[in-house]
Amino acid sequence: MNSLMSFFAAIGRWGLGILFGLGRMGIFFLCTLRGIIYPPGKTPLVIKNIYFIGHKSLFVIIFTGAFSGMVLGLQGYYALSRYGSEGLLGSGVVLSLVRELGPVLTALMIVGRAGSAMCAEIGIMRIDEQIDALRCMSIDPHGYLVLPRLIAALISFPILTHIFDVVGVWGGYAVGVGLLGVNPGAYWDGIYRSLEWLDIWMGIVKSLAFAVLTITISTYKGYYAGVDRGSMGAEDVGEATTSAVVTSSVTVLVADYVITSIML
Amino acid sequence: MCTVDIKKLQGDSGSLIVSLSGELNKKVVRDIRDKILGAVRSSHYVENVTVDLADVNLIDTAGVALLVLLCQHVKSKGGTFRVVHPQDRVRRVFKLAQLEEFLTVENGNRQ
Amino acid sequence: MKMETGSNDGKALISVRHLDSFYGRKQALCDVSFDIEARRIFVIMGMSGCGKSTLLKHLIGLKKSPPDTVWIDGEDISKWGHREWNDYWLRIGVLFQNGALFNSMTVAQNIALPLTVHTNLPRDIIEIMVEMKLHMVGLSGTGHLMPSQLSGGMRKRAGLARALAMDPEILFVDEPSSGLDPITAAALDELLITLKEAFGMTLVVVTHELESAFKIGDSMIVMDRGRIIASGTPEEIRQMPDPRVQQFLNRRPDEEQRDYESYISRLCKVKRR
Repeated sequence: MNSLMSFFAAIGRWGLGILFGLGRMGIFFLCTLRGIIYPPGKTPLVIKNIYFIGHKSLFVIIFTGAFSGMVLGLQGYYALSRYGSEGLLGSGVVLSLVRELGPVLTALMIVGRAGSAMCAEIGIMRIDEQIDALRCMSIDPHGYLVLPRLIAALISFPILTHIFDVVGVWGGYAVGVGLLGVNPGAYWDGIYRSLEWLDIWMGIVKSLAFAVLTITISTYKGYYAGVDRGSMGAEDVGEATTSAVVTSSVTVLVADYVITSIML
Repeated sequence: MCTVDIKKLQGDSGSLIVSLSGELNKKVVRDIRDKILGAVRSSHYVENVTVDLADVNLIDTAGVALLVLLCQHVKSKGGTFRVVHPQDRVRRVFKLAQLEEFLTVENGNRQ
Repeated sequence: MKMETGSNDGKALISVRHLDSFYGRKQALCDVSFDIEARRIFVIMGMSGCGKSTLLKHLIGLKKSPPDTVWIDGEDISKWGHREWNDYWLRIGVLFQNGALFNSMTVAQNIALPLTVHTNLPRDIIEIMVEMKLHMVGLSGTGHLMPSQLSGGMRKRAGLARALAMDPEILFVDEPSSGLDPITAAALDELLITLKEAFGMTLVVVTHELESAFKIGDSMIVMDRGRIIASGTPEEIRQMPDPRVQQFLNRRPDEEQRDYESYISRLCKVKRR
């Protein structure tokens, strides 16, 4: 009987823990937005973060975009050729990229690169009492550390997503037209006919939503690294970083489904 | 609040006397810097600058930094710079920053 | 820095009454009460783990204090909102145990940070102020270095220079001399005393270094396991008959720690291979 009770107690504790975390993250996000009204820092921080998130992720995004497009070209060709519809390859590639793969894969790549680094950086600041030092200098840590990163992400994510899409389309062209012999005119025509503003909007909305979610989660995990346990060591930062990447990635996929079902 | 009064010595066009009064702290330093540097630059020929602190009852490191900046500026043009009649508290701050000699701080009674 | 603010010489700037503090269920402070007078150096002493750092956190607002326990300038800080706390933090400087310098900035940028964020001072003035502060703490010429290039002691002194950047009214220092060689530690003690005399600063120093504490302190408290076991001037404390105080002052290890019998029994529990 006791073990049954403790089983339920454990589930309850876990559930309450999740609620507590969600609530605290919500407050964390609102405090960050407060920084817009009371800006503590100056704009160089935003520019520095755009460089960090955007510019430094460029190579990864181009690389991933190219190969995603190429795989789509390959898979798409063989699937469509069964029905004699190779000419539709262009539409297949562009719609898959713009609506889904572009925003999702871009977000996942940036989470792995920049999100984990941000979480670790802020986590180290937490355990080294630097966040406390900011507060005691009357500098709001949310406004100073998190907000510039959030703004930089809101600028960088859509741009990187579009770069991913464009490179992917060319990747699909290289494989479909270059290697497999699809008519180039049919490829571009397919794109022209099937791509609508709604598709592009969907991509933009998703990339903005993913920007907010991933950066909030990554910075939140770093900000509270070790705080609940009361210990402040390197392992707390490691744990926070892993948790940030996993949680962000899962959240991106869940949010992707939600946004898609709303917008379609 | 800090007021600044800049006078050119009669008959000696190369000398400026700057009299400050009140609290020379970080809130006022920017304005005072602009006023004094403006006066120095607008005069064609300034060699000697004397800053009279007799009526300054409080100074913080921003105020001291301002004096250092003025001193640098004047000395780089080949002029002389000195600070006169600092109150005791102000003197103690100069001493803490080890700048009494650099700023040529002189006591003596106010004339 | 300002000699003529609301607080007068000798009146309590900070008052603590019956403060209890918990981390979860663990009690870190128990019924702590004391006063800190303006323009004096107040020392909080005690062994590691006695609650000194927790007490400091309450005084600088990093840990929430219950109502009617801590008053600063006559105000109950449990009632303070964002604006009151921000105003307070502009008046104080805090040196954290490891310096807490920001790794992505140079030492000079670290010290200049509060000045660039909170004042409209021009850059040339700020640069001179930074040099002055570095010189005060004995780190002249290191402004261009990154914190990772400094030794622990240097990082601490750089942290002190940053705490002094805004010429605070109250300076809170957590273990100023730990990690410093005796000569540098002595120089730092001298600096703290001079700050009080030249700027009329109130200093709250947390330390377990006895020599330093007795040299600089105007009044002090000794803590043990979350309670205050002694308070008064250095002379009064030195003459207190309380055995725990004497044990701390004479640096005698705890008798309990040297329980021989339980030591032997623990050894014997180690299994033989």
